[in-house]
Amino acid sequence: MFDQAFAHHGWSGLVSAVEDNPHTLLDRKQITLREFIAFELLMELDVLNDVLGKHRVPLAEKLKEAPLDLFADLPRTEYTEIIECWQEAFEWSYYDSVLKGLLLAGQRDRLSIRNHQQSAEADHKSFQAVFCIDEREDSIRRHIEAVDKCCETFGAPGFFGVEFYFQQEGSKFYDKLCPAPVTPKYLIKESGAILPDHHEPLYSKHTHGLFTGFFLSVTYGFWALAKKLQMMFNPKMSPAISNAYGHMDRQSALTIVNKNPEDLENGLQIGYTTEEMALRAENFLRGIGLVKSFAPIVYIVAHGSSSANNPHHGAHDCGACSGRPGATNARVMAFILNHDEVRKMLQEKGIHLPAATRFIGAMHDTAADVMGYYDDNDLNEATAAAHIIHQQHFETALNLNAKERSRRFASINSKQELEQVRKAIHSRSVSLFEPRPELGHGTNTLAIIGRRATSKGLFLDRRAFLNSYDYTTDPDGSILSAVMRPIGLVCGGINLEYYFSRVDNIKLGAGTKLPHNVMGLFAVANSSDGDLRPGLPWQMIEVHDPVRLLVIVEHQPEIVLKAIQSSPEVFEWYRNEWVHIVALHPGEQQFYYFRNGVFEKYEPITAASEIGTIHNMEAFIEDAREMETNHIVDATEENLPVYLLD
Amino acid sequence: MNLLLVLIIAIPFVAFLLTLFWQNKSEKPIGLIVRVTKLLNIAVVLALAIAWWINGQQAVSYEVITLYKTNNFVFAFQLYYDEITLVFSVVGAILFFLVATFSKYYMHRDEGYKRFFNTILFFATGYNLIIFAGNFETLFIGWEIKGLCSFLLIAFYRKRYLPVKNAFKTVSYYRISDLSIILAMWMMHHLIHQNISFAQLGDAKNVAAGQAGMAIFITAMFILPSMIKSAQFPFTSWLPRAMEGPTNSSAIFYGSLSVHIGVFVLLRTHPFWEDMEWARILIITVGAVTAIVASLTARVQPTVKTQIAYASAAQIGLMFIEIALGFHWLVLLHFAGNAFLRTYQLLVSPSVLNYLVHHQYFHYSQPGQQKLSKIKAALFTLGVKEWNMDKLMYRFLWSPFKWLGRQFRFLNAPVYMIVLGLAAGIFFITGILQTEWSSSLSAALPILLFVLALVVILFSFASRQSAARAWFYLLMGHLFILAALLSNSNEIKTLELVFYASGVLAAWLLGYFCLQKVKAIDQDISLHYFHGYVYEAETTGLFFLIAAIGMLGFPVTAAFIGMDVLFTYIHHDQLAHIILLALCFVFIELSAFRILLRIFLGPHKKLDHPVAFRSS
Repeated sequence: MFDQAFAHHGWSGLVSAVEDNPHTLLDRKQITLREFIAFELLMELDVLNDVLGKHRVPLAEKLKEAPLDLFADLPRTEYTEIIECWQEAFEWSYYDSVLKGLLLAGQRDRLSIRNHQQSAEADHKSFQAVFCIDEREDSIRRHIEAVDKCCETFGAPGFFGVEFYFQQEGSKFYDKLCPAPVTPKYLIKESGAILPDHHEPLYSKHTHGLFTGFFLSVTYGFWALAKKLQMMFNPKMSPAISNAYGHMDRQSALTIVNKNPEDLENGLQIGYTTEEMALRAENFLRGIGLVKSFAPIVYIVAHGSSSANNPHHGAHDCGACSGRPGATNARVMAFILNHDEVRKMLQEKGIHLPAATRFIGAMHDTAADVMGYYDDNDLNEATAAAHIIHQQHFETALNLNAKERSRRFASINSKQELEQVRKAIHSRSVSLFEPRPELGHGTNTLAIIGRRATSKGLFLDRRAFLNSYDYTTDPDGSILSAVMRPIGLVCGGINLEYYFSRVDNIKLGAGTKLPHNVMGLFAVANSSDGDLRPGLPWQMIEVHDPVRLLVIVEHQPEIVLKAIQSSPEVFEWYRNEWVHIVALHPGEQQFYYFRNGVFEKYEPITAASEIGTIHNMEAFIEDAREMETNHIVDATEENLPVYLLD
Repeated sequence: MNLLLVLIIAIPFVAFLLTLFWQNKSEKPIGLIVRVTKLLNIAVVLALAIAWWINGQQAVSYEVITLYKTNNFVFAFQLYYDEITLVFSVVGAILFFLVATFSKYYMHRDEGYKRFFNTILFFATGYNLIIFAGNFETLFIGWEIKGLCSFLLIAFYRKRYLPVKNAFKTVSYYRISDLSIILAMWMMHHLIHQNISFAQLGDAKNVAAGQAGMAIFITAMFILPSMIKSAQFPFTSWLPRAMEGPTNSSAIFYGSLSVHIGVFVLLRTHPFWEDMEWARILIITVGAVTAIVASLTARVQPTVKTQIAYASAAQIGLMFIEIALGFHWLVLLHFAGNAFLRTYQLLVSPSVLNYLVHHQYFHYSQPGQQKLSKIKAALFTLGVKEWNMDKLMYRFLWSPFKWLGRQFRFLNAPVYMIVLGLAAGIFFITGILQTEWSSSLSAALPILLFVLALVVILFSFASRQSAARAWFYLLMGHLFILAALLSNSNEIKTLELVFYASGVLAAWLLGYFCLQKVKAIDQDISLHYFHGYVYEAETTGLFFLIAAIGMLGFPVTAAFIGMDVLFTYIHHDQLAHIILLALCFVFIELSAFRILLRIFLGPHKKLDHPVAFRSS
């Protein structure tokens, strides 16, 4: 049965996934893996009867040896020990330099605070921005902090503390916008949207009919030629292209506020009550450590991704929102934090939001490098003026972000003018011929849970998930437990996804994207009679170094241990060594590495002189090493080690 | 104008040769050559169109070079241009331009980047040769090139099992179409007593009026390859399985250029059969049946590419009807539109997931719960099973020959190798010496020798043991064929014999050395499973491919001319001879390719590096 099920592991896996989540298919089906296996056994029986006749000797009577114990523990041999050593060496050759870099950056940070008694905190803050912890946002945060020295950025999981089902206007289905294992009890519906519903005759079934096909081929066929020329030489957004902003209208109304607890639909409460809103707002702000010193504008920036010809586009969207763009969550949390009633309740809980502070939801399209802002029409004069300036700063940061990303794309010349690079990046995200619209989570290695000050001085080459957390507001670690809960799942899950797809792309990954054929509307297969291909395609994992995630938590090791042991599902990640975890004791500035159930001291062995410093970011990007050949082994040569920022 | 005609063939061919010289990692030089070629291609095609228009839209015929000439056989390269060529060349150039531009980005960093562009440049040469061909010989060169390139592109991911298996299936259909064209040339030669050019087809029609039997045979041999290449009923099943290559290659081949070539052949040969009622009725029937069957199948396809493939085949069925009814301008319009449409649909096929899911969000309706009517259920099941075309082809076409080949398994013993080898040699020599046999023997001898040839070739086709032995028997097959031809006719010229024999022998030796080299790796070249030696011996694999195509008369050696000529030495009433000879040539190719596949392609048998599952 094992051989039978694994002869087509794609299909078996899909049946198993649908059994666990029937709503995976739009047309719900209640099927089980057991039924599937039984069905296949019946077909086998039929063939055996046909070919060998009913009076045949069963195979079992002829077997002399017992079959292999498939689930026995693997024996530890010298080979496994050596392989383990190599893997650890591979991982620690990067991690060690990161840990050393953190120490150096921390030293420099404390030195500069001692020298300049006035820290940026006392100065006026222009704005604050909460981004998703996604490692692609690491670079845009670095750039916006460089462009506007008075701003402050934070990182929080991209669902921003609000879990709900979302129903787009006119849609017949709900989108779950929170991490996958959470089952929300709330529904938020959209109304007043003016998104036009585009039709693309190309995909209509009429081109496949006999007579309709005839008329369409002699007429639309020539129009198809024009469209082909346009798509090659002037790519732009079209209904066929997955648009990060396409699932929610910018100015539509959302049913965030619950009118009546009896207001239910399909067992879900429509909107949140004020208490529920306040609870989430408080948890959100305390989680990232933003409980005082608010700036006049706080952006909540979600992320999504536009890409063309990409059945795997869900992998580029926000993992904390179940593979969807997080714009709705940003809008909802911004609304909640702007709500007067909520602010009153927050005041009672000790969080004083100044009346002048305004939260604005936004979304960063990580492929096109574009920012869109929501609900920013009714700002007062001062705020509106500041908002315009901040938008310009974001544009500059996006230009630099585009440049940083462009160094990895062979078809874009990074040395061009910033605007040209930005245009090239944008056009790449809507190009139907581009199998790598962005590199997604490729190269992810770290998850840093701590204050921004800890990681601000480091260049991490978009390899780190950055979750804001302030240990000073959480002496007993209760907030840390909540913060750590999604880390293993979201960040570790993403890391393992890329790890396994990279280690054996042919069997565990999806192979190269090029021959992929969309099967039904739920999977891809190679051509017409291949098995389904789960996992990530080659083009997504080429640049990835298959190392396990290193989680770095800025708190005392005892507190960190308590936090990760808070539930068996969370602890499993660390106990079974799926991810590494290191605690950075803030007072001692000492690392403790979790191994064999305890946190033990760890001293990085990288010398301080081995870590370079970047003085000019643009020049650095332009001169960064390019890979020698096209071969996949060389693709990871372009992954940069850690540097200190000037 | 003549210069332009030569250029249109030379440009892609020279580009193909040039791109062979760079390594895979040098994407920029290869890309540059392709860019220049595709632009030049369009330029020349448009120049030709304008020149033709200015010249009063007269058909132009140009004999480039005569390769071989005797009293009753002329092998010449001839080029031809008329409105059919215009439409096909313009559409082809535009689509080649679009797909080549698309591929430059799409194939970036793929390990087969260079191989891909080599193949499509060679394909462009083949396509232009077919479109611009002025006689059957030239058309046939292009036809073979196109068949080879199709095989190479379907088996592009040659380290997996399914692409390799499906490429072989496609090539077996293609080989039948190749042989049909040779048979058409053969019978036409007997009809007209010369090597006809397309410009003269209209006149040939008049001669044909007096020779009904020959005319029927010739026309049937025009219709059959068209049906096969354009995936008409009952040969449609190879088309969806040919979508194993990257999306852009599927787009240019099975969306547009390659699959419409049957339409082109029918248009080109139309002056010959336009008065034959039975031919027109046959074509209309085939077209109509395909249109209905393929449309019904397209409606139940679960994958987007196979759906497009079947829909395209249905439209080609309609084109067949249009040709038979004489609406040529409609056909050309329909061809252009369908080619552009299907190419586009295939290029953007991965987007259908995002689009239709989004579409479903807004327009989803619960499927009805009422029972299907019996007719609907029957049509549904028939569609899902693709009307059993694949199964029928296997059961009635390939399986009998495989069974036959297995009956000859005893030939594996060395004693038979020696006996048969000697027999072949002896008869070959007696043939050369023109030994006179008694009249009854001399009538039976050619057939006997052809049968022996077929026996050893079928053994090679079904063999599951040493590849070297199977390869040896292929050479023996050629020897028996030559012996048979020599004993059949005493007019064979030495030069023709030399063309054929030298080409085959050179190819055979090359293949033999490749097999020995590969055998030295593990002492195992059994044909029982796939070895995948291309992983460790890529260049050897390439040379073996050249050897394999040389063995079947691909225009890489002089055997090509030899084979063509030698066919003419079978008289038009020697039905048994021609059938046996045709079967021999079909199965020589299939055996040679089968050896190539099993030894060099497919999943590598060593697992010290990632190897794909058989089902992937």
